[in-house]
Amino acid sequence: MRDLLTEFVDERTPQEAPPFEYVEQAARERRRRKYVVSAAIATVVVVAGGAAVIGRPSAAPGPSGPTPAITAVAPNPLDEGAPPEQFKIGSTLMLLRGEIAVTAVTLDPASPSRLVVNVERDEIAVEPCVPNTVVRILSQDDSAVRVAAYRYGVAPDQHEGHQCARRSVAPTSVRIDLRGPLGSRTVYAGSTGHRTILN
Amino acid sequence: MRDDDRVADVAALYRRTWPRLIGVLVSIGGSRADAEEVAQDAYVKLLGRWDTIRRYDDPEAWVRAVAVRTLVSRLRRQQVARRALAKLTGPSMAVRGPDGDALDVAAALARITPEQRAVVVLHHVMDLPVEQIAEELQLPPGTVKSRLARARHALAPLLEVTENA
Repeated sequence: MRDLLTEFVDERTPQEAPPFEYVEQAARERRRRKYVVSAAIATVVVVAGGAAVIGRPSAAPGPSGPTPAITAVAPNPLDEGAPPEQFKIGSTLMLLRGEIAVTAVTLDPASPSRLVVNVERDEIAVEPCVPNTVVRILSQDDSAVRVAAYRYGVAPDQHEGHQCARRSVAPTSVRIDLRGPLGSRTVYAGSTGHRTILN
Repeated sequence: MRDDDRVADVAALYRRTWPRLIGVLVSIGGSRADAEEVAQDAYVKLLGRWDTIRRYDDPEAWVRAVAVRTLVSRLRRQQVARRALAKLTGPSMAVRGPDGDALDVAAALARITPEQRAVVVLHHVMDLPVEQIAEELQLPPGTVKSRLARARHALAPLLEVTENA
């Protein structure tokens, strides 16, 4: 039985292993997922906390306490407001490189509240290892929505660059959720000016 | 330990041990795709915990233990799902035994449970003693012995081999 089984296992044993880069890539992907989930949980906690504070009756005015420290987390592409100067993905610190051009915005056919924002190609990190494009909703009201796109780069002295074996193409299209139908509202692109890009 | 050293160490172990691990996992009953997925998960875990596991006497045993346990529980879940489906849709075709004189090891192994296949392959092919199998599969040694005995009892007539053990 031993010989038969050994022969059987031998026949199913490949000659050699595939490149180790696949394992490294899977490890990186797992770390990234972990941080996305952590960031999502942190966002829910912050939003829930904020809602609780808003819902509470206001206390008598008094001296304000110390400003709480803000921990840098991976920005959620759905988030509103100005982009963070930096965030972390896994142990990789990403720094804001600057605003980039929004080339087109279309309404996602699958959802009346979702926009597909096209941005310019990344000429510096053509194949980044980590997500480096973020679109933010800077403001929105009954008549208009303003969106802007930003690109980040890996901070100096980070390991991610040379460990990056399987690169992906930098995204040129990002979906954002307005959390309400766009309707006939005008979409302005960029943090300043009035460049109308939709409606 | 520097990141580069850690990756180099795990990569060397991976290249040395991956082929045999796949052979073992496929023989226990996984498809090649299942085996590669389970093995990759095990090496990813190893990479994350290398600073601790490199101090073990046999890091390969750790990877194999993680992979085999994961595969066996996956096969068990698949088996439960198949039985539930059979209850709903009626019995499927019966598994055929070995044909004539041909020693169909695959068909013989298909007659025993994934848990039994794991102990048989680890014991008879990888030459692991019962105590080590018990440790790797996190089972009492008595359970490993009984699984081994049942598996031998089921396999012996199918493989037309007289067992002396």
